[in-house]
Amino acid sequence: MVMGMWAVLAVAVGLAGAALLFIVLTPSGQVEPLTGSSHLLDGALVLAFLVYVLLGALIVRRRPGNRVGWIFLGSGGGLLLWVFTWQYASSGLLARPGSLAGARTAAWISEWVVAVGFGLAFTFLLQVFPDGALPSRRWRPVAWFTVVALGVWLFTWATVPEPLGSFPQVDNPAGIAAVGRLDPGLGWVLFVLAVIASAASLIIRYRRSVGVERRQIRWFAYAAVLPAVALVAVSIGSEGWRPAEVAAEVLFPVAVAAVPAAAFVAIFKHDLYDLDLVVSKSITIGVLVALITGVYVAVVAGVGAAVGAAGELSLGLAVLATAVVAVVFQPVRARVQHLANRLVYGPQATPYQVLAEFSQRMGSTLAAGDALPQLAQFVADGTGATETEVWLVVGGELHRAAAWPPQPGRQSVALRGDGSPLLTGPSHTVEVRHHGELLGAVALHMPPGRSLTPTERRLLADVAAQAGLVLSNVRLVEEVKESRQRLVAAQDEERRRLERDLHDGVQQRLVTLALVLKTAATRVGRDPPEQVAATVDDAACEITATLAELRRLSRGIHPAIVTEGGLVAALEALAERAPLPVEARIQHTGRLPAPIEITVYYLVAEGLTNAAKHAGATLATVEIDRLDGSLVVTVADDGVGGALASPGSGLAGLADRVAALGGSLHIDSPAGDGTRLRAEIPCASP
Amino acid sequence: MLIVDDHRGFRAWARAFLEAEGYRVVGEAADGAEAISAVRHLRPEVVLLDVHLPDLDGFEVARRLAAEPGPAAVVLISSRELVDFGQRVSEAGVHGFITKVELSGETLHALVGGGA
Repeated sequence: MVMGMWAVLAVAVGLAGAALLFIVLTPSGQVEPLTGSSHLLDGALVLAFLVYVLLGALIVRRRPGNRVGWIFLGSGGGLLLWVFTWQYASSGLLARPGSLAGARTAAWISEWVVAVGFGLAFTFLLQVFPDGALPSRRWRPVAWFTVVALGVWLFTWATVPEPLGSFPQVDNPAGIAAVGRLDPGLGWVLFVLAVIASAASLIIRYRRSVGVERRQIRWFAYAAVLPAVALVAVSIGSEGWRPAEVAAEVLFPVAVAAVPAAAFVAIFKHDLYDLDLVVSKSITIGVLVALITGVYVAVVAGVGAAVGAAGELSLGLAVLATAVVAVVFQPVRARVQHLANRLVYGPQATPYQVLAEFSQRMGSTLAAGDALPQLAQFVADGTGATETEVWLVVGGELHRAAAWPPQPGRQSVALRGDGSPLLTGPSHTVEVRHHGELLGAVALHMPPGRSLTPTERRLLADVAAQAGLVLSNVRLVEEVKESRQRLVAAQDEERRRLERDLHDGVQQRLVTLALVLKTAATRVGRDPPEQVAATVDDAACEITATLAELRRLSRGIHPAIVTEGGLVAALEALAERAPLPVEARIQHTGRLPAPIEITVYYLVAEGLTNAAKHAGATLATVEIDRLDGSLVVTVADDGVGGALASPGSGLAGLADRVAALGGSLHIDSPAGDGTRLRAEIPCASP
Repeated sequence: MLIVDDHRGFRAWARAFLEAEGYRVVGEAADGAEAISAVRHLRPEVVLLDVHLPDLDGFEVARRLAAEPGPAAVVLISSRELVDFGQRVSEAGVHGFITKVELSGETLHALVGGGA
């Protein structure tokens, strides 16, 4: 199809070039201009019709299924053929009679092919713009009426058995006598009615449209009114009413130019058909081709004339021209590309630049402090937003993790699970997900009256897709950082608790012991010996209690029984000492790495302590199993439930301990229905 | 003398020891509120006041006792050392500070007089 399209374009350019050549070469005064006003306007029309074809080719290439492209192509082709055949016939019949073969046939073709050009452009194009389909099924009769109207117009003008309207010296070679009995204006009237109906359909489509589509249609709807008014003016003007004739002369060329111009606005300002990249490249290539040609011509003609070799292509000049082009090509290409991008995308960076730079930068950064502000800035650069924010999901809340321009403070909003929008303030919000999990959002504030174009929306979606990995990394890093902080805090808390225990327990007992012994000393020789002996006995009791207290403390610092006797013995001892009945089902695991054994010991100790102290449980169960390379530890009780791993709590510390071993701790503690701690710790089989 | 400490064992042995050293112990209190109430009723000349109490700390109790009419001489005691409290002891307006292991008739006498 690409080759076919190039062939179509070549034919169109050839027709336009030939038509322009005839216009230039025909001596003025010999032939009336086609438009009736000036040859210059004729030339301008040729260029406008060429634009129809180019626009059609661009749209067909991008959206082959959309009828709009084909209609532009067919209409532009018909109109170019009309101008060419008319100019050819004028030249061959009027300017230089007999000089051109087939001039009569050309005259006949120009008589009816105009119906194809204007017929398509001013009816079907208005009916199916911009999506290529009628506004609704109810417009089908209008489409069929248009088919009939254009058919009648084309057929009657092609077969009317009279001299041709534009070339009265030529009798219609395809004249059919029966057609002569029809009203000669019938086809034209039906066509004008079809144009009015088509313009009405577009205006109704515009009134029903919303958002981007409405902006895309707006200018086209304005332009659609022009052909309808112009054709009515042409019809009235042809009856001899001079003001209408003048109005038609002005309005008609304006209508011809307005239709593709409005399509241009929809395509480039409002991103219809995603032609931005194609057009940016086309502009660049077009300008470069013109530049190379210009340089070549300038060097060959200019320098050639100076050295007296005009018209001859010497090898030296060719090399010189090539060298000049080679030197200026790269800097000029960059500059032209930049200008073309600016023309298509405005002052902001192109989406492709933004995405490319984003991927490059994000690949080399992991720290939240760098990645998220950069993400916010990239989005602002790519969309022209006045303000952008990156939000991160942290524990059921959205935290504003970065903003562009930078803003102080760390705002948070609750995350609702009802599917309502994440944020209500910004004009646009796009969710960031990784493997389906919501990790955060990117929010934009656009300038007043400006919304995102489809290209910018796509850019935002692409950035959000890539940001999933970034946010996932950032969150992991943050989690590790927070876990480390919690471990350090837990360690500090543990030291404080130990100091308190030493102070309140052992130290108090030793102080009391000192008092008892001092009292005994004062009683020696003063009180009866049995009283002194009783006081010394009290001192011995105090020492025994102090030792028990020290043993309890040292178990808390490090359970020696785990390292000495192994995990199973340690857990059995825990169960025996527990202040409530404990059912233990412990699989004999053999010795495990010390960090795992200690963690399991603390987990069971904490679970049993909580069951007795806080949950009011009457029974606890402890289970240790091996499952698929993991050690599974379960501590359950029949207490009041409601246990939470709140920050700084023993359970939170245990969760961190288990996580540090690569495992996970699940706490299931519904109110009134007991508590179940289940830890899975990776543990290769011995 | 009034002995204020949250450890019953310490209060009992301190009482026995100080009585043996010639002091008359008129009462005991286990926390700050009880101490203030006991001072109002018993009017002791000396209050042996532990820094760590379950409700108010010893410094706060000392501040409130200083506002009472005809204030008693307050001696702070603790199982920690003086340096652990920085400037707080010197700013508390008390008669002195003794670590619990140094408690004796002699050290008390040096601060508030009395004893055997």
